[in-house]
Parts: sequence; C-alpha cells; structure tokens
Amino acid sequence: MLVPENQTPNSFSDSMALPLISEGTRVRVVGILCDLALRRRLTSLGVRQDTEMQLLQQSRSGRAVVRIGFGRIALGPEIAQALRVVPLPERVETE
Amino acid sequence: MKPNRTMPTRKKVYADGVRTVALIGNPNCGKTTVFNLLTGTHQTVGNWAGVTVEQKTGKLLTEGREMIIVDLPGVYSLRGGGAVDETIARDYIRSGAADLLINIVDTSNLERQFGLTVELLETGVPVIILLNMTDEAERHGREVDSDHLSSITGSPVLPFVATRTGEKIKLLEVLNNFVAPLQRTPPFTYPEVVEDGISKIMHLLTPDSGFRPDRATAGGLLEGTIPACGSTEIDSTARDIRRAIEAATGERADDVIANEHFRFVQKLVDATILKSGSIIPTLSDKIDRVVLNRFLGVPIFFIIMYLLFVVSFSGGNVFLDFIDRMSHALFVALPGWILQSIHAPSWIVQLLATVAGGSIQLVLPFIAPIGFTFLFLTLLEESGYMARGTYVMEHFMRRLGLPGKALVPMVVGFGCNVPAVMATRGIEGSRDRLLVAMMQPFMSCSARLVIYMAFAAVFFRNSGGQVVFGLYVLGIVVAVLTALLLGKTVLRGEPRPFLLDLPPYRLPTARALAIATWHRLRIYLWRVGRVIATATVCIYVLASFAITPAGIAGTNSPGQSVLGKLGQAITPAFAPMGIDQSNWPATVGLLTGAVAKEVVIGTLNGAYSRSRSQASPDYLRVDIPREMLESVATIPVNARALATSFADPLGFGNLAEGNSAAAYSGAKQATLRALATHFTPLAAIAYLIFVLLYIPCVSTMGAIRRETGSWRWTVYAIVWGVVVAYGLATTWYQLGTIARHPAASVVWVLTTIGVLVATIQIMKWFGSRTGEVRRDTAERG
Repeated sequence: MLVPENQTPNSFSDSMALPLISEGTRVRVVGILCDLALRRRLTSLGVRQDTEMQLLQQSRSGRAVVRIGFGRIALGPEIAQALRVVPLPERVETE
Repeated sequence: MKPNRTMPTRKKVYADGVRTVALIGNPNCGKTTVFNLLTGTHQTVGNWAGVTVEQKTGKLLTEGREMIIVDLPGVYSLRGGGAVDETIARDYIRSGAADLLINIVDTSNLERQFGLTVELLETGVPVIILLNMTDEAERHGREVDSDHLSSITGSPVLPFVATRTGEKIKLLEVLNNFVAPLQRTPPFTYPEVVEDGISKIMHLLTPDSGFRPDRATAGGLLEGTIPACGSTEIDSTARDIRRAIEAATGERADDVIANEHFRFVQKLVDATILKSGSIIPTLSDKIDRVVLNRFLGVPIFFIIMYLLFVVSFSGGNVFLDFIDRMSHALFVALPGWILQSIHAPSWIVQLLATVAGGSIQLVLPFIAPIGFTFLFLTLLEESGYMARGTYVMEHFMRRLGLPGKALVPMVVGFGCNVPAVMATRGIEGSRDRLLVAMMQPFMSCSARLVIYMAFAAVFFRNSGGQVVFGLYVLGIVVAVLTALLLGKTVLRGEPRPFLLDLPPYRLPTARALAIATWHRLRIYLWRVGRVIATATVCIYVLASFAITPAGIAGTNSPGQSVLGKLGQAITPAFAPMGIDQSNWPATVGLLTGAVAKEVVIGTLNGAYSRSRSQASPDYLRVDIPREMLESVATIPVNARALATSFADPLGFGNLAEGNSAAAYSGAKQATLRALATHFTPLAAIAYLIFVLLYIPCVSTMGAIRRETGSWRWTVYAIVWGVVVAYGLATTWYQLGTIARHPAASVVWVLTTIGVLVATIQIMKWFGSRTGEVRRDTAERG
C-alpha cells in the first residue's frame, strides 16, 4: 500500500476515490492504494502521485476513462477505486 | 519545433560496428510505420523463440551496406508489467543484441514516454531519439527543444513524421553519420548509497552471470524488477544494499530508485518542452463520446463485430470460387497435365497432382474468409477502436470471470482457432492468458462450418440456420464454462485489474494494412497449410494400403484399408451417440478431423464411396486456360450476391436449397446419400456436437503448446475437449432416444455426469496443489 507520508489537510485527507468525482473534473492524484506491481504499471502509463488528469467518462460499474496530457487511459473499477484524488480548480487549458 | 543541429559526424556508423538496429517505443507511437518506412518490402516475420509473438526484422540497404532492423513489440517500461510481447521487448534490450536503439516517442505524449527513454539511456546501448508525430504535436501548439534534449541525453534527436515518405532521408542521414560515444556517462545519478549499490552489483555482472553489466540491469536487480535467476551472490548482495538504502533514506529502495528516475524524467520534460500546447477537442474526443457512451457503447461494439463477420464471410465468399477453381487449375490440373504429358507413372500423377495439389486446393479457399477477418481486425486495431471495444465489454467479461481482453481472441476464433490462440499474447498475466487460450478450441471455426453445411443440406433444410446458430452458441457457452471452471479450480484467482491505453483514432494507410494483414495470413498459411498438406498425403497413404496376412498391399476398398480398419475398430465407442458399426466412415472422419477439420468432408467423400479409383483423371483433356478464365468470371457473379448477404452472412437462407449448401460443403452426392442412410437427425446433431467440441486440430494444439509453453496444458485441452464432446453428444442422443431404451439411456447419462464430476474433482485437487505456486507466478508476471 502506498499512502503518502506528508498527509496534509489539503492532500490525502481531503482526497476521494476517483469514481466519486463527476465527469469532466480535473483532478490531481494524491495517493495510489495498490500493490507495487500495479503501481509500477500505472507509473509507466503516466499515472503517479501528483499526476494531473481529467475524468472524461465513468460508468456505473466504476470504470473510468481519464485524460493525462494528450493521452487517454481506461481504468478498471479496482484501479479507479485505488486512485485517491483531489479536484483541481477549473482553468482554461492553454499551457 | 526547433530542429536539432548537433548530429555527430565524426565517424560513420559502420566503423563503429553497428549492424543491428532495434526500434523500440511505447505501443501506438508509430514504431511499425517507421519500420515499414525503413525496410519497405524487405521484411521477414517469424516468431520469437518459444512464443508466438511476431518477430519482425527487415533489411536496410544504405550507402552500399546492410543493416538489420528489428521491430520490437511496444513496451511501456523496462521495469516489468504487461503481456508476453512486452517481456520479449525487455529481454531483447537486456540481451544487448542490438548495436543501436531507435527510441520512437510520440511527441504529444513526451511526459509519459520519456520514462522509457530514460530507462533505455541507462542500458548503455547507443540511442537515437525519434520525436515522432511532430505534426500532430504542432497542431496542439506544442514546442520541443530537440537540441537541448540532445545535449541532456547525449543522444541524437530527430523531429520526425513517419507517415511522410520523404522523412526517410533525414533518418538515413542520422543513421549513416551516427557515432557511438566511446564512453557513455550515466544520464543521471542516484543518491550516493544507491550509486554504491549499483557499482557493487555491476562488479558481480561478469560474463558468467548471464547479465549484461550496465546500470539498467544493476538497477533492476537492485530494486527487484529483474530476478537474480538463481545467483545467490547477486541476490544476497541486492538484499543487503536494499537494507542499506532503506536505513540511509528511510524509504524503500525501489521507491528511491523510482523517484530519482522520475525526477530526471521531469527534468527532461521541464527543460525540453518549451510549450506544452493546449488540449483542443479532437475527432477522437467526439468519436469517444459516442462509442464509449454507456448506452450506445455495447450495441456499437456488437454492430462492428457483426460487420466483421459479414465482411469476413460474405466478402470472402466473393473470392471463394475464384480461389477454388484457380487453385484447381494451377495446382491440380496443370501439374497433372505436365506429368501425364511426360508419361509419368499413374501413382506419381495421383500423389503429386490429385493428392498433394488437391490438398493445396483445399487450403487456399480458406484464405478468403480468414484473410478478410485479419484485414478487418487489423483495421480495428490500427484505427484505435479495438481498445475501445475491449473497454466497453470489460464489465461484461469480468462478470464471466474473464479479462476484458478475452474478447478479441474469441472473435478471431470464429475464423480460425490458431490465430485466436496466438492473439492471447495480448493478455496480461499468465493465469488470464491460460484461461483464454483454453477457451479457443471451442470457438466454432470456419472449417467446422463446412461440416455443418453438409449435414444441414441433408437433415435440416428448413431449420439449418437454427441448428448452425445453436452450435455456434454451444461453442461459446462451453468455452465460457471451461474458463469459469478453470478459474474456480486449477487457475483460481481474479482477473488482473483492467488498465488500457486508449490511442487516438488514426486512419491506417492501405500499405500498412496490407503489410500487417499479409504477415498474419502468411503465418496462418504456413502453419495450417503445411499440416493439412502433410495430413492429406498421410490419409491418402493410410487409405490406399491394407494389412493382409501376406503383408502390406495396395487396396482400392476404403473398408479394407488401414484407415478404414482403424475406424471400424473404434466405432463401437461411438455407439452411445448414435453411430452404429455400419457407419464406420463417420468415425474415420473424426480421426482425420483431429488433424484438421478441413479434411473431414474429403475423408467422408472417400470413406463412404464403396471403392476408390486408383486412376487419376485424364488431365490432358482439361482446358486449363478456360478454367482460369472461368474462375475470374465468378468474382463479379459472387459480388452481386454480396449485397443480399448482409442479413445472412453464413448463408443460412441457402440451406433450404440443399444443392447450394452441399456445394458449399464440398460433399459429393454419394456422401450426402450415405449420411441420410446412416444418420438420424438426432444422431446427426450428436455428431456435429462432437465435431464442434472434441480434439482441437493439430495446428491449434501446436499454437497452444507454443503459447502456454506447456505440454500439460496441451494435453488438458485435448482430454477436456474429448470428455466434454463425448459427454454432451452422448447425453443429447440418449435423452432424445430415452423412450426406446430408458434404462440404458439413464445409465449413459448418469455415467456422463459422473465422469464430468470426477474430472472437475481432479481439477479441484490440482488447483489446491498448484494454487500457491500460481499466485506467486502471477505476482511476478
């Protein structure tokens, strides 16, 4: 299990699982609650702590499609549930 | 995009001994397009040793010298994870077989793809970084400083658009002038305690250790992503260093390494991406809104799969007669004409033209439907839709206890089980891959359809559609139940968590499609074709000779031949499913069908005939040019029928016209009459159930052996298939005839259930023995 060490009120304790976020919201990953092998795999696909992503789509079963940079990744329900995220303030993406 | 102007020009690439150049990058980075651009038609496709992952190599002739270009499977990281193909790419890189790596990165996704780049730089093998798809990145407003990237990494960097043929010259210029630095400095350094550990491990990486002495390997051994492979010294040293790192930093060693690695990736990103660009809604976004929609996604998927079916079968049928008649003209009539013209002995004409040529004629028409299946699948994969389809169906498949990616092999299996088993290589985790591979023999392939058609023409003229459809469904049900059963017994566990990169939609070029389709088709033709050709000749020999008290002698009576006697000997075993002793030719069909389902009808044609002529047809009378012209004329005729076949791709409507279905199956009139005499409709269905489910053909068995790497699983596929086929066919027939012999039927049904329960108990017992081992394997995979 990976729980960030510096748990501040604005990070992990304020976080929620990705499926609880509404579609279209931009979020930052503050924790990944899964085993090492899966965490490595997520890292190789660009998902790690502090990664910013946008939830493009989610299903009732808990699956999700997220946008990271210009790429999109589909996550099964276990992985979506394992991602602890905090919503980011809305902004115009220009940079 | 700033051009890179710091390409080294000191020495030519050949002077540095560069011969083998490997292309490596994340999946969907445009690697194969670069490979096609560099090698053109000078490509060979084989398999990586021990697995069925395609190994694509090509030759590049430049400045009068030759380079070997290796197109490695897409890989996200050298640190592990992913399916077999990623392992292949990692092992190749670690082996040091490549003299130079071309790392292809999608410029729009540098933040992610630099992760692999940095890992490659650590291997010490010279790297050229190809910033691919710069046109797409520029459309987003992205600006990358390739000069700076080159200076930080110490590697040439080339902005590139692989889809433009003119770009090849730029890459050749870099390749021809590339100079491998005599000594490479590490791209970045770890904290001192880690660096000390890496040095210690590198000292242990002697030639005898089997490891390449580079920082990537040492780092991998240290963090445990590369197993020490039995070297206790390396293993214990790595463990000691891990403890030292944890004591010094207060963090896990693998976290320290991963964090430093990521810090350098971030440095590259910050230093070289001058403008990250803005996300503007693309066509991919718009399409995804529809195809991933929670209500529309599944129906769209099924429509596309149905279209795949229609295109494969109906599109294939347009060329079926053409290939059939043309191959008869070229491989049967022409060699027969030549041999008879030079007065070759009759048996040589029979063996080479009628039998060997006939077997080629038997295989080639399957090119049409299978080639179209491959073409459509390649289009779906290259366009980016297949990943979406997998995502859409993931929930459904998971409820069946299957990984989301199980769907693709199942669809391929309707064409041919061999590529279906091969397609399981895309599934992550040995447990999931095994589960899906074991399902494939039950998917009803196009060769079985031919057998169904012959029986439908005789017994089910008005309900053939339902019977054939029912057999397809039965195959799927047995496949899913097999996976469920294995998942609860021998392969206990949960499917791996679903994680999939969704590439942007791209329209593949016709050339790329043609090359990819041909590569798949060529493997199919070689694998399946040679088995069928060999089997046909063996069957001919077995059916031509009889064992008599005087010794082995030729015979033209199928019943007296070795094959006939063998069939007669085992026929009593099939009595419970309605095959009586006089129907021994049906059993002979099952024997040859174990080799290839394609030869069953041909065998029945021979076995049901009372005597077989040993003389060949008079090929001198065949008008070969006319036959070839007539074969071409069938294409427009069949194309006209295509429009009506969209609602009925398998041609169920034609079953009412017995002649059409019979012609499709290739069964002779004498065979059809014999089927009508020897089978009842009930026994016919029992026979078809058995044909659907029993032993996979030899080519599929070979694919299972290669894919699973295990004889035990291959034997399991055979035994389980026979048990299920025998059980279901017997149960069907006995329940249907229970009024005639109630006691015997009840005994047979109870026996069948008993055998099935015993088999499941054995599987459970095996599961309890091997469960722990499998979990360990899954953790590592």
